[in-house]
Amino acid sequence: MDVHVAAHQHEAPTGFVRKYIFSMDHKVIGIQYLMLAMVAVTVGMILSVLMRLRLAWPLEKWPMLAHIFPEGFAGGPMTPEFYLAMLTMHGTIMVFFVLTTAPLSGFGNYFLPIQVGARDMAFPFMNMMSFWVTFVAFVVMLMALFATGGAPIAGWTAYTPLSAVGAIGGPGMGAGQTLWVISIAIFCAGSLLTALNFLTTVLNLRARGMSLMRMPLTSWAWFTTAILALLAFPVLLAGGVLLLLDRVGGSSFFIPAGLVISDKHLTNSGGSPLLWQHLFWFFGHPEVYIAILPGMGVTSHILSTFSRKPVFAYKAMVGAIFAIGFISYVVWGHHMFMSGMSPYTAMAFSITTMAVGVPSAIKTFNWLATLWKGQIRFTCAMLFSLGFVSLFVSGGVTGMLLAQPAVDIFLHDTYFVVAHFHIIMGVAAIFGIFAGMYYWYPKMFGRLMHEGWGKVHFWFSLVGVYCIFMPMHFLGLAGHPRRYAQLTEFKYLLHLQPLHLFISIAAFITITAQVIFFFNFFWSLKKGKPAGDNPWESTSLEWSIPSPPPFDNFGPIEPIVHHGPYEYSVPGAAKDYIMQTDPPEARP
Amino acid sequence: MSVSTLELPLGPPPADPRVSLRTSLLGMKLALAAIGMLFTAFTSAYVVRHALDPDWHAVPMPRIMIANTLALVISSLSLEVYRRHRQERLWLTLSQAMGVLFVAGQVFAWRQLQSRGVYLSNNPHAAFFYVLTAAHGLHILGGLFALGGITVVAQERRFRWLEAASLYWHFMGALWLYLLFLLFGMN
Repeated sequence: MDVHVAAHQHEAPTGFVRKYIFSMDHKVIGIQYLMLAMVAVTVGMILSVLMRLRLAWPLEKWPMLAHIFPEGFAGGPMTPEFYLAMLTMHGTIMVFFVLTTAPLSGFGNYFLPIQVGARDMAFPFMNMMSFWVTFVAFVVMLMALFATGGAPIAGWTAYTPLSAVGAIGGPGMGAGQTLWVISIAIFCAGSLLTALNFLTTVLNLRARGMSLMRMPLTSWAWFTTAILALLAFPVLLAGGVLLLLDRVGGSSFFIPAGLVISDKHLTNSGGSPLLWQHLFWFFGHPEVYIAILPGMGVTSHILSTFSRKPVFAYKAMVGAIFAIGFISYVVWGHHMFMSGMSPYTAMAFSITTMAVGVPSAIKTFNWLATLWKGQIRFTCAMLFSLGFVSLFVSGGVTGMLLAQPAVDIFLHDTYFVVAHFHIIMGVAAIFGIFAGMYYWYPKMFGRLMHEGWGKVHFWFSLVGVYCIFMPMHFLGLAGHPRRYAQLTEFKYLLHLQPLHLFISIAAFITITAQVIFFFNFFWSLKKGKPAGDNPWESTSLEWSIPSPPPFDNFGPIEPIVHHGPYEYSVPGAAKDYIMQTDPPEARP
Repeated sequence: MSVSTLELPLGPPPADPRVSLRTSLLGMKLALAAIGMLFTAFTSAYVVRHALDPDWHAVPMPRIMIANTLALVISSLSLEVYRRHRQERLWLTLSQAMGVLFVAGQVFAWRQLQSRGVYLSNNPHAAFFYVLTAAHGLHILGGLFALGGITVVAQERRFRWLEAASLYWHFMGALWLYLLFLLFGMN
């Protein structure tokens, strides 16, 4: 019996609900995840606009906003607590519901099975559950935003003891923070189901001839990311359970003895706030790579396609993905250099952190070598991938600086760190998502996105994000701490105010430019040029089937793979690309 | 088998009728890896918290937990017998009954501790006891559901369901012995 038939006996559903809402089709689930990420990113951007308003015009009262958020403005400028709440929710929503869902669960769900030649994920029902569990987590997170007492203010890292003491910790630390923890715990469960499916599908459901070393680098990236997710999310879940019990069960896992908050002496004793940091960052650092690795895979894939050249050193690329994934588990301490860590431990974490630079450099140089003397086609997908490389280098270099404990002592908790992680984890990953969207949109919806508007979108985005985040390095070097709503009382920071104004204006322009993308996305659904099966003359399996693909991906044909993933410009071949499913004789 | 294509550029067509068994088992092993990570994280929290607290008072183990442990071991063994001789339903029933007995015994152990005034809030060791046994207990409930499903699911899925459920159940048994050692063996 055939492997796929054995694993997937469900027929194509016909009813609307089974087809589009509670669908078990990996393609529908992938689009559902992408839609969720689109809603989440819109919410996250609005929150960042509110923050940037406060930072650029510290004393402005914004009567219209005060009308919408009476408590957040309380008759004057935005309150510091409200600012912190916006900051917390911005970070949480972006990291979990955008940077984790879109690149991994969104594109991964849609394209991983097709790229390895499977008809669906290994466990379709579990796949459906994973989306709806994540959806519930998002709803609970939005509830935290509107909870009594306000949204939580402990940051996306929810540092204890502040996050553990309950309502006494300040506005938003009651119901808001509790909902936050619950949402994150639910999110962990959903992500685990996704990871389980990805790994099983890659290991067991590949088509004939699709050896591991014939998988596109996108699939390798999703596979590695799924390993990270499978082993990292349980740790966050454990931490979340303990945090929740500290909040509602009266335990003292993270609350130390003798804590006095708001003139009240807490009865807890013996807990360790640092324990939370260890648990959180043991998850948190792999999480950073969960966000960025799929972008690396997409970039490798697209650079090769549009340079019409094989990926340079494919095996080294696979090795580098794995090396980055592995090292991500032994670097978490670099987030805690300032926590009273022993200098010897700090040195160890510093060395492992710098070691990430080696596989990262391998990837970067291989990308450049892939481009070298290629016949480059500057499509939107290609431009965003090139943007990814640029941002990955810009953000990665500052990572090497921050890896030095001595440097970090000065830069810790300044805007330098904000600049670093936004460029490397936030914006680079977003560029990976955009690259993937422009590249795969024709496959998902059967029509091409408008290239002209896409290029306008690209240039606004690239110049925009550099205008936003480059100046933040200077803020940080000048000693400007992060997380504060207002520091106008400090003379040494006064001369930096124009920079804040510049950053905010750049942010508003860049965010407005995203409207072009959303418009292009929806406009092209109906009005885009018909795509055909393989508009980019690409090689991987998804381009060998109709756009959009049929329910079971391959119809009556059983895909058989004869070629590697990047056989471009093979000397003597009839075309400048050989598809993976082309017969063996396509390669002379 | 598709894995053989790792070596051969074009392996033989996937002909193994039990290939979906392999998929089920792989999925289960990965799930167990995730569950293992969950308890590893709890363990590291336990060790750190224990080392930091000068006022750590270990709670003595409720006696009934010896009986509970025995029940779980018998449950695991009888399930293994059933897995090997599937005609004898009695072994499965015994396994299920012992599993239920374990849960009942655990509830009793909790109540016993509560009657002694040992709560989540007043003793860190007890807090870990409650967290670890509750997390394990929830997984046991899931396991009981899986054991119940063995005879309920459609005929063609029954074999791999049994194989995956057995793997899970044995893991839960081993995890339980480990938790006992962690909570009471190191004091």
